[in-house]
Amino acid sequence: MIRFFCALALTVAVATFPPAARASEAVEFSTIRHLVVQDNGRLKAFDTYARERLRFVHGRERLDGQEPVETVLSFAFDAERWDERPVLDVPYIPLFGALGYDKEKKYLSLAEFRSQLPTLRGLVRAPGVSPGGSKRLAEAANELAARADALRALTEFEDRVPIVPGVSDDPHAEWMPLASATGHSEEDMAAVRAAFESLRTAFLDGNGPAFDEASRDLIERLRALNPAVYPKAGRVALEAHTNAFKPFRAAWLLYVATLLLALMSLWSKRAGLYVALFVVLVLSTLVHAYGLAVRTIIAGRAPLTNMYESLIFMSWGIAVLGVIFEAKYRLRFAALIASVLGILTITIAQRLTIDINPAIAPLRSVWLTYHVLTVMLGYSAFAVALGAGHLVVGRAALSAVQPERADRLDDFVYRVLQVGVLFLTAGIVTGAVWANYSWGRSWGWDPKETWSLITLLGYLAVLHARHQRWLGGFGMGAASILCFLLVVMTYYGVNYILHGLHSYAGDEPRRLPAWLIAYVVFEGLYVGAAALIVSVRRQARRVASG
Amino acid sequence: MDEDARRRRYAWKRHPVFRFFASTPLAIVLIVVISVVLVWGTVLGARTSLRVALHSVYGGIWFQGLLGLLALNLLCCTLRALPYRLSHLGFLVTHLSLLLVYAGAVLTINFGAQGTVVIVEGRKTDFYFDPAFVQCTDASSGEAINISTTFEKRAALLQERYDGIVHARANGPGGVSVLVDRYYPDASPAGTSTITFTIPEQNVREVVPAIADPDKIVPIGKTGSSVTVERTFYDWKDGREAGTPQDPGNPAAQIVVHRPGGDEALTLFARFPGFSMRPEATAGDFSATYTYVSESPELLGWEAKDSVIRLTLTDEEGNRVSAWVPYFERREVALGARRFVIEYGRRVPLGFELVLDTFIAKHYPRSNIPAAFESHLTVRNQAGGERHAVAAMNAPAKIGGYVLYQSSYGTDTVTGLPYTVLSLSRDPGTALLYVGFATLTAGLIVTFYVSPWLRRRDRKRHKESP
Repeated sequence: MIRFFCALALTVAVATFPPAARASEAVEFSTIRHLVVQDNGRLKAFDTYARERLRFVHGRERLDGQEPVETVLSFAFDAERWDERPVLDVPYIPLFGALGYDKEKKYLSLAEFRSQLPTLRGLVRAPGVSPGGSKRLAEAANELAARADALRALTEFEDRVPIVPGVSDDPHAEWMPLASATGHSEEDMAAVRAAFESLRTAFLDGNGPAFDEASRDLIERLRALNPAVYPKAGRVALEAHTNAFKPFRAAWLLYVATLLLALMSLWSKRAGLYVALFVVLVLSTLVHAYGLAVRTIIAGRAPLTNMYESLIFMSWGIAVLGVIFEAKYRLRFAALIASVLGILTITIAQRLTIDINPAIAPLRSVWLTYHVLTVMLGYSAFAVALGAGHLVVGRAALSAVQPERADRLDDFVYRVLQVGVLFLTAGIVTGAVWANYSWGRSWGWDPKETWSLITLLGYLAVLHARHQRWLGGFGMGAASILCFLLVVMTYYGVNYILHGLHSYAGDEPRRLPAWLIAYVVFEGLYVGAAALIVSVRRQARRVASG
Repeated sequence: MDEDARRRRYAWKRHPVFRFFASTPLAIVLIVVISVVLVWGTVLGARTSLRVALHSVYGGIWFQGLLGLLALNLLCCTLRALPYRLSHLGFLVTHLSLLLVYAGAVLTINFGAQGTVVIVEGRKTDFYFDPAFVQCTDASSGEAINISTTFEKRAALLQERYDGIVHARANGPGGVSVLVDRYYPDASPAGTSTITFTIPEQNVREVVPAIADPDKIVPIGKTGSSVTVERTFYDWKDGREAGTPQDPGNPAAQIVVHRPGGDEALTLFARFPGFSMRPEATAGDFSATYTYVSESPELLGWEAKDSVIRLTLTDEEGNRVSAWVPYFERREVALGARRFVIEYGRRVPLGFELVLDTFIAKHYPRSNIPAAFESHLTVRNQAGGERHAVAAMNAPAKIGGYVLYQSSYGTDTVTGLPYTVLSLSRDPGTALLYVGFATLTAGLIVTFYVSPWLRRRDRKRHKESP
């Protein structure tokens, strides 16, 4: 057992930690990652900048398996080599057809983009007017032009990438690209330019030690231009480290390990296995918390401003509740549910925009933190109840003997629903206080507001129905499955489904995503089938005994 | 108290009417019904507009009735638990806090003040607009007649079928009677001539008002193109006006469509939609039609604003005067020997003066992400004292009993200067609401985590002392 556990821990550790820089590599990029770039309202590590730009331009962080910073530096120092290479990711497959390429083609080069400019202009100019054109094609053409421009900006690094801090102490002041930097003494700027030139030479020569030395020199000289606004070295290093470590991926792997251990400990009741399960669950929660903490430090605000961040936070809330309820009930089910939901939520989140951007003006309030934090913890609890509900309903359908009294699993469902109601109430309350403080009205019947109230009312009806003994263990399980549909509607549906109902929503109505339909149908069938089995069995028993 | 006395004292609890209103099943039914109504409200709001949902669902008398019934149910439920024991604490606190929140909301709706302050940069103001009333003030006596703007509901409820006709009457001192009989709301071009652009192949249909203004470029929906209405004619003859509003022979509109591909000048004829003076029209292209609506002569001189009403004032001597008043504006009329000032959006004195020193919209560096919106104000009170105040997004300014919120901004079409729109409120319900919010959350914690323990203890004691 111990041997198994060690092997598992080792596997996780190996999978989690990124391999050290390739040994065959002549040039070491660890220092240049810490260069600072001002981009989209934020001062970010060059490593982050490179990754985000490549994701935007190329659709993925790695090109030819290179480090992102290496690729971007190669754009900058070896621009001509890239002109003919297909790099640009085309945002909409039919656009290839509109440009006269075949479907096999994956990427466009800058040269190809230039040759296609007249066609693209035609598509953008006449949205839906030219024959065969459409608004979606026009949008895609526009997007492609933006990507091409971003790529060109990288090939014109000195003229376009702002790496030189301004002279003022204002943290919101604009930084400048190397070629057009003004305000600093000629002497200082000459030294910066010299450092940049030696960086270029060392990069092109593949001279590792010289490259590392030039990187250090360039960063130090840039920092010396205005130490007050240049981000602290530790902060930048943390950002670059996190990019490589990917704490949420690590947490994901640990949730997979938790799931395996939970399944094994349901199989075998050995105490050691259970301890291992609990330890790995706590460890996953801690790694997840580390990721959230780091993101808070990097962003300079709570990570609760968009769908990705809130989903990752909800995922962490699920893990915390998993730990608490596992400690309370020792059923192995809390750990099982937390790990399954953790894997699911992180997997979904990774499909969303993960870039760290500053919060827009309306969201810049301390109430945002209180509001989103409480609401998401409420959703976490409802998600755990959803998982427990599936177990209760599934058990009722599968086992012939029904427990006479509410057992620990039923109690678990009820208790976790209480946590959800408490936090959702607190979330609606903090939202109302925020709205009143910021806009002078606590309630405005906005669809999101109204749906959060509908969700709360749904769960309140369930709690009262239990109090009235209208719902027993099975009923509560089914209710926690069905009520979660309200959560999905409030959290996701209001932005997408209700918007789609809007009569002015544009010419392309948004269709319900297939996964959503599949989810609703599955839950309906699951609960319906279980209810049918339970009632048929009850009937049969009544006949047998009567 | 012995068992018998207690029975007598709480006899009312067994009354069937009380038992009905104090029942949990009623609560559950009400919660479910209210939820269903809310779902319907959001769907209706998405299909039409929030305003329609507000008027027909959330503000509807029967929905308010449902909420009132729920409040009554809550109250009766708390009474049902009499006589109270310590284990009732959580239950009582949560349910009574909901009543507090309800009371706070009622107070806000009935006694709160909501208004709008508009200031152009460098200018001052000493009043706010109260959108809830149209006011006619006798210039000499200062006596005012107020008409509630609830007539605006009709337009939101009827949508496309709205014809501009309303009926709101109020009587003032001296036998003066005021009638509002026309109201044209902002988004709807009803009552004005329009130009409709369609692309049948793509289901595009966009309507823009046909108000001639050679300097104005109006976007055509979300198509990415825009239009300038150069000139409109009552009777077009070889590109010249040959008619009058009273005698519209061949109504036409001369427009320029701006498309990314280039500009195109067109003349559209209301009575001959098939005959547009267009050299080359291709398939999948826009087709445009001009719909002419004969307008009231009074409206012709009126500069387009977001909404407008027509009032008629009459007195006992049979004098009669009508006026069109755009929103946020003020008009003076003479009725017999008396003069009246009409304000659509009643102007309420603030009791102090506000100067907009500057309006700032900040963006994060090298991004188009808005970072802050700030109105920098100078406040002058009547004693002559001056102070500086900033109303920013997420950081409202508290001035003289009012709270001012940064709500919108724009550029004044006349002066070209930036202006700010602040919304203002005075809310007597806030304290109740916040207390209710705090006790509600605390009450839930007690209900879920303290009460079960208290109940267990009660039961244990009960067992120990037979």
